[in-house]
Amino acid sequence: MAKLDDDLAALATLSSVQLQDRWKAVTGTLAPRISASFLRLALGYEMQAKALGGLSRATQQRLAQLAAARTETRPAARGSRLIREWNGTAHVVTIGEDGAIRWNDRNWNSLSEVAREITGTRWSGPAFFGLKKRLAA
Amino acid sequence: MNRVRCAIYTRKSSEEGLEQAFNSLDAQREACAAYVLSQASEGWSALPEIYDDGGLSGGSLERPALQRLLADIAAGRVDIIVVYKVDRLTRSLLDFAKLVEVFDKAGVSFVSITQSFNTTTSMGRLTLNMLLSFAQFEREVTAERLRDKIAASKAKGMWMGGTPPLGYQPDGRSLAIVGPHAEIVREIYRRYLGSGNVRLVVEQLAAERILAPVRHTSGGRAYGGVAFCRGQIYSILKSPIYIGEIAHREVRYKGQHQPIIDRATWDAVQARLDGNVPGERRATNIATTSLLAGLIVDEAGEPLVAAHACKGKVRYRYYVSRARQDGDPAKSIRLRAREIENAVVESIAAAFDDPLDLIARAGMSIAAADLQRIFAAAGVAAATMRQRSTTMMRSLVTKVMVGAHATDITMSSSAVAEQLATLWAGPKDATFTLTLPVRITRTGRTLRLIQNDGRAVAATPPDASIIKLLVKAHRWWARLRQGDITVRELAEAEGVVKSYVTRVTRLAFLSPAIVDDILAGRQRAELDAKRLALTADLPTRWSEQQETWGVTLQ
Repeated sequence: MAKLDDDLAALATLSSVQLQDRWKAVTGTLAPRISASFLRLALGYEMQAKALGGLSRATQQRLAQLAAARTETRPAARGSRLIREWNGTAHVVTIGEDGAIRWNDRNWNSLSEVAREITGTRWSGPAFFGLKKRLAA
Repeated sequence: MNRVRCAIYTRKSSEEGLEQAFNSLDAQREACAAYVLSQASEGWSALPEIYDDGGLSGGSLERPALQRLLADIAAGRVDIIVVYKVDRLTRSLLDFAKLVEVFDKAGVSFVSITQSFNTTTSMGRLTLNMLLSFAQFEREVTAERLRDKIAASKAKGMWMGGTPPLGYQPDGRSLAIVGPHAEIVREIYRRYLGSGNVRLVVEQLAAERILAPVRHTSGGRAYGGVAFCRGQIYSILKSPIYIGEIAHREVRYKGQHQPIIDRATWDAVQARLDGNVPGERRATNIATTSLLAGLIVDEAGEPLVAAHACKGKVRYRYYVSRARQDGDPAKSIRLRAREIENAVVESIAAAFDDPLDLIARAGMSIAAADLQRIFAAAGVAAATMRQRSTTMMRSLVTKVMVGAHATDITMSSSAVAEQLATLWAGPKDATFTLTLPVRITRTGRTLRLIQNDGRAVAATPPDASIIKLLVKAHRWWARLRQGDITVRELAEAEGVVKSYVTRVTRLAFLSPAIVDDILAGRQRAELDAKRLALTADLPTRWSEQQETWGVTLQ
């Protein structure tokens, strides 16, 4: 952690050329054509993301979905209940107050797992349970 | 063996031949007597009385021998009536039905010897029932015909009988004006238009000794001669007869009689009458009914009674212990009615908002195919409950127990099933309990209901404008990061100024924790789109960013 702190502090003193070198060292790509202060900010982000972890997979997916603006997925609200009829049977999945997904007296890691168990094929869990909707064009 | 007393009834319509020594009546009686004799093994024996109606039509029941027979039946002197043919008793199905009714009441059967009609056997009774059905049909058709005739006559404006309205007397199928009486009617209309108050009209008429005139019924009985009452005045004021119309149910027709009142006066009176309907149930009355009266009890099971206090026109409603009513306020409860009613209504409605949970609590089982219907029914039920439906409350709830720690609502499972449009297979009186997070507490001198904490605070919806900026930032940064475009070129392509691209794109460097907060709608109130986009300098360090905007510090 001390190293990251030092590296971030050092950014302020680096020149434009030094910053571009640093970018290449950190990301392995050519530096973008932006101002030194902008690059300093971007480089700081890259360094912290490398050390502390960047956007979670879920957040990246969410942003990608929002950017594409073709579908919309509502998160399963805590304490809610999802019902899906499949082959004449109503399957009820309970989302616990702690966010746990409960179905058939068992906890599951994701809705997709539940959907797969019910149908025997791979389904997007949110799509299967009606949380993911196509947006009107 | 029981003795069965048989009465032989004979009849002949025409007088012709009756003078003979052995006439048709004798022949009928002989045949009947022979039949009775043949049934001697069953204990039958003919009564010595002779019921003969010579020269009388079967179209009417007004026959001396028949009436004598009916009297003997009523006196219990007869078990079976024996006739030669059914039509000897009567030719009219209607009369026949009447006779059978009398016979049934007395436990008497009857036998027609040549037509094998014998109500002592099941076959005979079947035949009888068929005949009676036809009789009933005939009665109803006749009634319909009469109704149609009356309607048609009234449409022609005819007066179809009954007590004629004051001011008229029957004149064939029309009404003739009785001058002095009509003047009283006009006077009543005048006075009502003057004061607009029926009670005053009644008082004035009584004070001036203007009485309802003496009239006579068609039977000659006299009526009237006393002071008018309010009901009479109302019916006089409302009657369309006085403008020359005849009413049949909701429809009014032009009558054949002359009007007493001109239409303008009559219309003015109707408008006035409609304007002051006494005893109308107004919205204010409905809203202040005590919804939980008879249902609500305290922790000891003692009923709380609906009570109210008035201050001016305002009514303050409460549910109070009997003890308070009886004068021991120390141990008593007094709850504000509106508070507890709202809490109960809302929790029941909320229970219907979540029908699956309600079904589980009530112990019902459902089929998947019913889900759609149940959800629809539950939605309707929740809405009805929120409108404070008294009938629904009374059918659903059997008891509301208000305690120091919680409030329990006992609900009838079968009533819940009914509201959800499903069948209830369990016991009829099965109940289950909804527990409200509402308890009573003393604040100052009155008891209040307190909503127990522990409910999740409703999350604010995510801020769409910030999310839009965030998405834009990530898109622009992805372009810039590839290194084949400058900020100036990007700004030109997007049609914005260069500094806007710089400021927005910086948002791609927000710490992941802040991004998560924004997407989940958890961001601090002061973090809005404008502020983010205008921020002069964004700290590089995530820890610094989070100090400024973060919800959770990492």
